[in-house]
Amino acid sequence: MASQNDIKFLEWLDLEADGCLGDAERGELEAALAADPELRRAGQELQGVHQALLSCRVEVAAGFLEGVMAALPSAPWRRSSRRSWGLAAAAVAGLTVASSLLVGLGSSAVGAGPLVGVFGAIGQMVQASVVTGAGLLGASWRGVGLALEEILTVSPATMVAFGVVVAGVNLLFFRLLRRRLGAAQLVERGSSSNRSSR
Amino acid sequence: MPARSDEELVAAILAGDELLYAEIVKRYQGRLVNYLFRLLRNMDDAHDLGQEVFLKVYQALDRFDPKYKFSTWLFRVGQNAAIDKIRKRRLKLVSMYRPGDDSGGARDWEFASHDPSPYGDLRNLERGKAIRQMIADLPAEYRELIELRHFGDLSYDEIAELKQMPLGTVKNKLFRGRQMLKQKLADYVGD
Repeated sequence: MASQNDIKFLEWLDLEADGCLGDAERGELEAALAADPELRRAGQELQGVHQALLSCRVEVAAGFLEGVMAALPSAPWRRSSRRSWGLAAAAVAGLTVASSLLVGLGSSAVGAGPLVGVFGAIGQMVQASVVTGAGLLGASWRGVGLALEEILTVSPATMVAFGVVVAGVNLLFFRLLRRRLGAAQLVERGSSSNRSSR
Repeated sequence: MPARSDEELVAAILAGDELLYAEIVKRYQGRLVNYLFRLLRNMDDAHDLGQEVFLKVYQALDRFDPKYKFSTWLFRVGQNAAIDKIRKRRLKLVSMYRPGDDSGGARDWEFASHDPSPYGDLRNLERGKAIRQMIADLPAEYRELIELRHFGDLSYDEIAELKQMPLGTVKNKLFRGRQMLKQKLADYVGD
């Protein structure tokens, strides 16, 4: 059975063949190799394994790089973020204009033609739904506030639990924010080194 | 001038120097294609998927988290893509296996032959096939790491990050995997 020392040297041989052995260990291993023919043989066999694995490597076909570069779309990340912001802004602007027009028509519909009257009625409907929505939203927030008040006044423990939840959420936001900042700093560092290399 | 790190290259690409992506592809094409070839056992598939992976990674470059190594990310995307491809292959009712497929498809690898005769080439091919079979016969936990180290050229640290294993476990499994291969090679030479 192999001793602990034998196993240690076999492991070191393995690391050495892989180019990952530290200098201190290498000296000790070389001394052991000089003294032990069995270890030398194990080392040669291990080299054989590495060579066998190396012989299984394949060459990349010519034109691979060109194929990848030709298929790359132009900065997809920039375009997609710009497009999504643009779409959102256009949707908000469109809705605002349409609502204003309808509400305007609604207020000037008295005594106008039937078509204007129809649009006017739709405008009044939009106006009424906006007012109702705002009222509901206010009531909901008021409801949430009341519920919170009720929960917090039950016992000090619930207040502590609520505090922990709020702190947790804040921590989560902070972590997300820090990750974003880290990425932004790296981009900045990369672009400055890029400029200096030119 | 020292070569820029992968992470710096990614940052420069995101800042607008998109042609620098060629540098990344050059750095990793051999390693990725070799790794994919080991997983897919077909040269054409490995090349096609390699290009797809580079494209996929480029499209998601803004989502790269510099906290991790770029190589680890690239190989994870590659590994997942290969697993998907293998799954799709299995889903097909008609077997894709053809005799000789295992030797790498149309563009089979060739060993550096020291014997210019056709017999020498044949010996090399047979030996290559045998070595690949030995790797394929290893238990999955060792085979995976051997493939990442010897075909993907990933460092021990990178493998540990990719496989989410302690560094010591990676070293140990690679050692054991190579010992098994050594034994198999000895048996093969002895036969």
